[in-house]
Amino acid sequence: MTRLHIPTWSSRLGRAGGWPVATALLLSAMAAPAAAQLSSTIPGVPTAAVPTLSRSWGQASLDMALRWESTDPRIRRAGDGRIGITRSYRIGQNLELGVGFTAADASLVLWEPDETEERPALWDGSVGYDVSLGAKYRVLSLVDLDGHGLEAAVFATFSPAHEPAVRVRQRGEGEWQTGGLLLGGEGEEEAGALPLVRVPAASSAGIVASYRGSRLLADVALEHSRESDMEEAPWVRRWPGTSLQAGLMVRVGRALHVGGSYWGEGAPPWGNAPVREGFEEVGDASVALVFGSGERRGAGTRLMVSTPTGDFGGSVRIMIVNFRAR
Amino acid sequence: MYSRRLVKLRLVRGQVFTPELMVRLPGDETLLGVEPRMSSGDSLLMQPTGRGGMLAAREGRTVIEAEGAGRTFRWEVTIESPGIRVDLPSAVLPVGEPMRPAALHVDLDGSILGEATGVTWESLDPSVLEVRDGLLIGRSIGVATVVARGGGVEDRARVNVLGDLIVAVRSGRETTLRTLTLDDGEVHELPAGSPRGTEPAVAPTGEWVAFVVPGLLSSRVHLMRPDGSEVRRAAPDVPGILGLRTGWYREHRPAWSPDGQTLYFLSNAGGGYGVWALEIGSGEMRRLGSPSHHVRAFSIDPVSGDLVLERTRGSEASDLFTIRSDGTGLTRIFDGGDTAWYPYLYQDPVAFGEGNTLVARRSNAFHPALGEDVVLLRPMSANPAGRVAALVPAEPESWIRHAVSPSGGYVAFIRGRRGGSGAARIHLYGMDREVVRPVELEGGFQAEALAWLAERSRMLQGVVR
Repeated sequence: MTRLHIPTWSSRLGRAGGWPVATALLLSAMAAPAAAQLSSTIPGVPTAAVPTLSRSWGQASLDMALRWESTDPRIRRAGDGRIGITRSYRIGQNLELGVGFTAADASLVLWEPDETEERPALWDGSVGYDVSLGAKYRVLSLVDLDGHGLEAAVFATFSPAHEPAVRVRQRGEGEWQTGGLLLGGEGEEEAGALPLVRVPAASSAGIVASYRGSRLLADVALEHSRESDMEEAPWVRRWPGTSLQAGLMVRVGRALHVGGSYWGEGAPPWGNAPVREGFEEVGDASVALVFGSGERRGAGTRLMVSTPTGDFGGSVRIMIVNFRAR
Repeated sequence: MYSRRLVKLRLVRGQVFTPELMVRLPGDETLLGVEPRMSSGDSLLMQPTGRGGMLAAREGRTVIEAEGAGRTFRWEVTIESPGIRVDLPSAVLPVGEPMRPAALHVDLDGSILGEATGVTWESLDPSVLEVRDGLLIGRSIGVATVVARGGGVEDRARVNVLGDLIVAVRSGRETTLRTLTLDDGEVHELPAGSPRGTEPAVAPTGEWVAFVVPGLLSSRVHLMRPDGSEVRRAAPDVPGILGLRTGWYREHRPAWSPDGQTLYFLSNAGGGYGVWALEIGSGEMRRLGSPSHHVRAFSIDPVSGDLVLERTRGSEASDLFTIRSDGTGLTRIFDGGDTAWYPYLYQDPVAFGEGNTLVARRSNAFHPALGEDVVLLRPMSANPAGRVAALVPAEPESWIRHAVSPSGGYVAFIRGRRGGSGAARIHLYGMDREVVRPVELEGGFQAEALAWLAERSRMLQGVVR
C-alpha cells in the first residue's frame, strides 16, 4: 500500500546521515530564476538587447519540477516550485543593471510507506530567498527603429553566498524550525536544530549575440561561471565552467512563437542546479521546448518544458515566464 | 576719409552710395555723422538722393565729390548693370503643374537689390518644361534649364519636372527611389537614374532629397538632387559605442528644417536612437537632447522649426515631446501612459504647422491585429473629446506609412499587410476627411515609403473621381 508523506528531501536523506545535504538540496532550488536577472525573451538564455523600449524591464517566472523516477526505491514522487521576479534598468544608452529575487519555494515528496519503522508522515517546508545581480553592456547595435536586427553584449552576474532559508518540519504533532526552535514533537532525529544551509557565492561572465526579427528571435551566449570555495563541500552546485547557450524562436502565428533552448555543460537555463541524491540531476547539455505568446515586442509569455534529469520519462520541468518592458 | 586720392568705385544700377565723414578733433576725439555735400560729374549717371547719398541711375562712368569739414573727396565711379538671379518657388515642379517664376536684381556681391521686372523667360528643354504666358509648365519627367533675361544680363536655373511623390518602391529584391504621378499611377525612373534607397525626405526648397541606403552592417542617410544626381553621403561617420569608429550603426528618418539648411535624422551611433542635426552648409553635426533618450520617430514643424519626438514607453505606450531646434526646451505634450489615451499607441507623429495638431498613426496596444488608422491628434486640447479625430479608418492586420502634403491639406499613405513591407497602392485623403480614391501603382511596384515632392494647386483634379 502506498502512503503519502509530505516531507522534503532533507527528511529522507537526513536519516541517511545528511540533514545539511538534504536541506541544501531543497533550498538551493530557490536560487534558480534569479539567474535571469537581465532582460531576456527566451527563458534561460541571455539576450544582448537592452531595454530600449523603456528604461526598465520586468520579468516574473514560475518554475515547477516534478520527478517520478528515482534511484531510491522508497521515493516515488517529488516536486518543487518557486517564484522569481527580476527587474533590470537601462543606464544611459547601453548599460543594463539587473537584480533578481527568488522566493516562495515549495517542495513535495511522496514516499513509499516505511512499514518497519511505522513513522508518521513528515512534512517539511521552507521559505527562502536569493538575490542575484547582473550587468550587461551592449557593444554592438545594428537594430532598426523597431528593434529588429543584430546586437551583441558582454555581461556579468553575481550571486552572493547566503544562508537563505527558514525551514519548518512537521511530523505528526511536532513542529521544528531552523535555528533549533523546538515547538513540539518527539523523536531522536527531529529533536535537534535544523541546520542552516550555506550556498556558495557565484559569478559569471560572458558574451551574447542576439537577433530580433519580426518572425525570428535568436540568442547565442557563451558564459563562464565559477563558484566560491567553501569549507564544506557545496551541496548546491553553481555548475561552474564554460557553457554555450542558445535559444531560437519562430513566430508561427499572429502571436504564437515556437522554439527551443539549448545549453551546454554548465549552468542550465534556470540558473543553479542542486545536487539531488535519489535522482539523476544533470549538469550536462540539454534542450528545452519553448512556446511563446505576445504580439508586441517587449511583452509576452513563455512556456518552457524540459526535464531536470535529462529524461522526460522520469521528470518534467515547466517554467512560465512573463516579461514586459515598463 | 582723409585720402585725397581718386578712389575707384564700382556700383550697379539702382545701388545707392552714401559716404559718411568722420572728423577727428583735437585730443583724438572723433565726430561722426557729418553729412557731406555731394556732387556728380554726370547727373544722369549719379543722382543725389537728398539724404547725403548718390543713386547710380544709369550704366556709365563718372566722378563724384563729397565736401565736408573743409575737405573734398573724389571717387571715380563705374556703374554696371545689376545681376539677375532666378528665384523659383521650388526646384521641383510636378508634371502638368504651372509655376510662376520670379527673378531678382542682385549687386556685385550678390546682395538682393529688389525684384527684377521686365524679365523674359525661356526654356532650353521645351519638351520637359514649357514657358507659356509667363508661367513655367511641366510637360514631362525630366530636368529643364530655364533662362531669365533682363537688362542685358541673364541667369539660368534647373527645374526638375517630376511626379507628385517620391516613393521608395520594391521590385524584386531591390528598393529604389522613383517618382510617382498621382493622376495615372505611373512610377517613373528619376531623370538621372533611380538610386537604391528608402525613407525619402524632400527639402522645402526642393533642391535636395535625403534618403536612407540600407545595408547589412550600417544604414546611412544620403543626399541627392531631385533628379537622382549628385548622390553622396550626408554625414561622415561618427564614433560609435565605446568611442570606436567601426561605422557599424544605422541612420534613419531624415527630415529637413523649414529653411532647408539643416538636416535632422535618427542615428544609433551611440547605441540608442537619438536625433542628430547636420548643417548642410558647414557640415557641423550635433546631437539633440540627452543621449539616454531613445527616439523612435520625429517630425519638424514647418512653421516653428521645433521638433516633435516620439519616445516609446514600455511596450504599449508612446510619449510625444517637443524640443526646440537648438536641443533645449524638452516638453512632453502627450502622455501615452495616461489612461485617457489607453489602449492606443500613437506613432510617427507629423507636425504640419497647425499649432499642436499632429497627424499620427494609431494602433491598439493590446490588439495590434485590429490594424492601424491615421488620426488627427491634438494633445494639448482642453476638450478631451476633440483630442483625437479619425482621418483614415483602420483595417485589420494592416500597417501604415504616411506623409502629409506640404500645405498640410492631404495625407498620402501606404497601407500594407502585417508582416509585409510594401503595398501596390497609395491612398490620398483630405484633412477634411474627403476620401480620394486609391492610386494603383503601375508596373508591379510595391511602395515602402513616400514623401511629397510638391503639391498641386488643384490636387483633386485628375486624381479623384
